[in-house]
Amino acid sequence: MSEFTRLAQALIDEPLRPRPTRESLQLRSARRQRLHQRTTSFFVALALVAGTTLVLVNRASQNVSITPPVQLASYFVSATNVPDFTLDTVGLPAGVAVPGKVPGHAPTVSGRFTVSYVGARYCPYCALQRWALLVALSKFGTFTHLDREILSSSSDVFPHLASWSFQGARYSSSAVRFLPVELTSTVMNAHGQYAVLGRLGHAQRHAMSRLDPQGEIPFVEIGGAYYTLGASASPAVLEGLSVQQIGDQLVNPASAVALAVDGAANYLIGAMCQADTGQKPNICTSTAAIDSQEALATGVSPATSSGALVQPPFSAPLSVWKRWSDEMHVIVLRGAASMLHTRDGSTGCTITNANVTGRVLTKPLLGIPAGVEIWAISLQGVCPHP
Amino acid sequence: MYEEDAAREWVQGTVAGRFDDGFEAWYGAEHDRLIAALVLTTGDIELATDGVDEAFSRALEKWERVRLMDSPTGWVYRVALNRVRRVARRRSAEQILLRRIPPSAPLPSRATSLWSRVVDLSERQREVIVLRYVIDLKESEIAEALGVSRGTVSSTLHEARKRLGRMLDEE
Repeated sequence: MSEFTRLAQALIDEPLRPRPTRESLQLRSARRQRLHQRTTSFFVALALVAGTTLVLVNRASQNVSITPPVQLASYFVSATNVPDFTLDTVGLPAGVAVPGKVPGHAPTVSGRFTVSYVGARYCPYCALQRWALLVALSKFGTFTHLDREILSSSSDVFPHLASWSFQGARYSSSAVRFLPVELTSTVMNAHGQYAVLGRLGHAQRHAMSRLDPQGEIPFVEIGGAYYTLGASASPAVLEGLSVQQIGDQLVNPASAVALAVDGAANYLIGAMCQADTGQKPNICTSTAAIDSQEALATGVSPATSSGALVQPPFSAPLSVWKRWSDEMHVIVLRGAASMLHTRDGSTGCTITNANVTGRVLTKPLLGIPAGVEIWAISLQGVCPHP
Repeated sequence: MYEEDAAREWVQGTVAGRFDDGFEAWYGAEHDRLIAALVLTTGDIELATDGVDEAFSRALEKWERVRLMDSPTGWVYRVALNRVRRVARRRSAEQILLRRIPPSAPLPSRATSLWSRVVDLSERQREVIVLRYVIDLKESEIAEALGVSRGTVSSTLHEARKRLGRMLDEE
């Protein structure tokens, strides 16, 4: 045996890495398939909505002067300017958790209220929650100095998720006081522990000891009235995406990222809109914000109570696909009706016409077999002149 | 009728994972070999491990098809390498966007000496050498795994052997 083969054989005899179990491989497959399904679900029906939305936004950006805060990295500009009608289109999708009510507190608070975030840089679940908070809080105030991009731990579940640290960020708002804490870094010390970065304030420690005795992160508390433990949606949607790609997808209501992040943001916005702070931002009159306040009151997601529309497997009988297409048609019609005559807060564009058109597929597309009718919305709108 | 029922039960049992479908034995025999192969191709143990695990999960998902291939191991190597390249490209883009280079895990010491000897080979030469001497594929199987002609494999192997010199003198 040559020297090369002998040395290589030594690497095989004494494995470099342990072998995952068959169950671990199956879990990995399932995660991949879920991600794929999320990405394809809703895509066809909403593709034109997204396209038209982007056209409207682009048209608006030509006519209306939008000056992003200079301290903000360019890829966060889209996250801090998710149009109101994008949030309405996303709504309250299945798979997004409804925040819990803080026991013993009235759901309505008065005056300037506190939003508290406790997370850590290594934590992949915190990555998703940071994006949702960024979208939601940007409707109530302005972020600056969000310039510490980070990746979650490489060795945790959902490794290397892109986001940023709230450490060092500044947030100004007349309604909200934002208190973020990143507890630890992504770097382990010699004892196998992540280095400590920040410490809990007194109020945060008190709230966590009551609502989160296990110390689960991310922990978010809104006005002492609502709270979330863990990520509001699966962080799997961020896998493999850069901050730029995530930022881009947030304004596309058909994307899996928007469904998870904007969907979670809608609940956070709903919780913030319940505070009695005098003049509320326009977002509080949006359909998504109103719906989310109803869901917060009952604690039940409308997607759960009505049964989420799940795309059937490709091999399902055509009769099943026909039912799916009919249900999708109803959803798309409702979506079109809700958009008509609405005005987007960030672009100022008003939708004047919304048409729903169907097309029978002649060949398979995005996991949908030939013969199934798919639906799309085309929008026309008027944008303000400079 | 009995045979028909038994056959149906076997098929259903296989689908439900109650019977041995041959995956476990093949996976047990090839996993460590493929990790070594990908480490020697890429020089990055994190990327290699992620690529191999991803490829085996795909192999398990499509096992009924993969098991009938001429070289399931060659297929897994190809899938793993494609995954490694995708992740590496993504990292590279992030390095530009984030303006920082994430530290990669160091190779275990016993892999370092072998890596230092193949690092100067071209990527294609490394692939061919690894497929031939670590995964133990025939030249025709290597050609299929890499999507090149058998002649290309022969000439690449010849060049790589020359460059590795003494290490492969005994072949």
